[in-house]
Amino acid sequence: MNQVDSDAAAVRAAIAAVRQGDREAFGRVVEIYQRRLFGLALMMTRDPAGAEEVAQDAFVRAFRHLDAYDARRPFYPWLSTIAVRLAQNWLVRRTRVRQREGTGLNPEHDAPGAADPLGDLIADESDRRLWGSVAALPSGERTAVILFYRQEMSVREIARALGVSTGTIKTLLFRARRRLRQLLTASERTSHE
Amino acid sequence: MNDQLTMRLARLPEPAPPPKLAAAVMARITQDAEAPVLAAERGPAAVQRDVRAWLPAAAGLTLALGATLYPWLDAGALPGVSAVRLTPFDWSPDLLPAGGPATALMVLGLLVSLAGLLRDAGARRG
Repeated sequence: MNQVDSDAAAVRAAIAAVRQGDREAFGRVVEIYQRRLFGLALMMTRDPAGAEEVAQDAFVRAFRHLDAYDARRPFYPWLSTIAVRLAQNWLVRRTRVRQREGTGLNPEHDAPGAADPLGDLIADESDRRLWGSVAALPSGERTAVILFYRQEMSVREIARALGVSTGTIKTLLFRARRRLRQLLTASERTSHE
Repeated sequence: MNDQLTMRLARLPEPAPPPKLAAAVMARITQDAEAPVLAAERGPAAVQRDVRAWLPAAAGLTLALGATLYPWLDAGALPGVSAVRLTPFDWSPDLLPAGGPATALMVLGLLVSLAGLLRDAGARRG
């Protein structure tokens, strides 16, 4: 049994225990998915404090609404759907705050290549360039890329998570790939010069 | 390009979560789970205590107000409030019951009301 399978089995057992009234068993679920979920939240929000808030809220909501989870399906896509929606809400709230405070017009905030918390954690130069390119994508395309490539969710699962059609996701992925190709080519050309 | 991109994206290292993330989540879950229990345990007791305190207070105020208004209603006319002069030394005895049983009832009502409120304050402190 590989790590993914053993984690899935541990999560199934923990959820069954929580449903039997053992609240503390949810700690095992948090332990298994916290790294992955925090990574997802950080990639979407690009803000460590925001990512922590989103990850915490996602786990707490998942626990509160555990009755709504269908145990025949894998747990992580359900959990990440909650996190994606929370991260989207967080981004909308932050945009509103910036507009209210007059910082929404400051191009520095979301400029490609702006200081990125994840970029600082990556040692390899080529990986850092790749993350810089992903981080520079518009938020819809970035979310689709992260969920499809990093979280290994299907187009249908992403569409359900974002509340849009599968066609929209395919378009977002197509545009994102095209843009990434351009960004990476430009970035690699710059680094060779 | 797509395969290469997929591999590179999948290979990107996962950032470490904050060290207290799991503890914070579990603390919130525990807090959430216990809050409704506490509310449910306190609910009926708190309602009973409030009723015990506010019933005499409300009854006393009603009695005092009734004792004040009854003579005017009985006489068929409310006093002309705008005509009353209010000074520190002559503060409108016309607005209060003239005396006798009405005054006694008003005082009794205020005392009952005050006793109810003090009892509630004592119970909360205790």
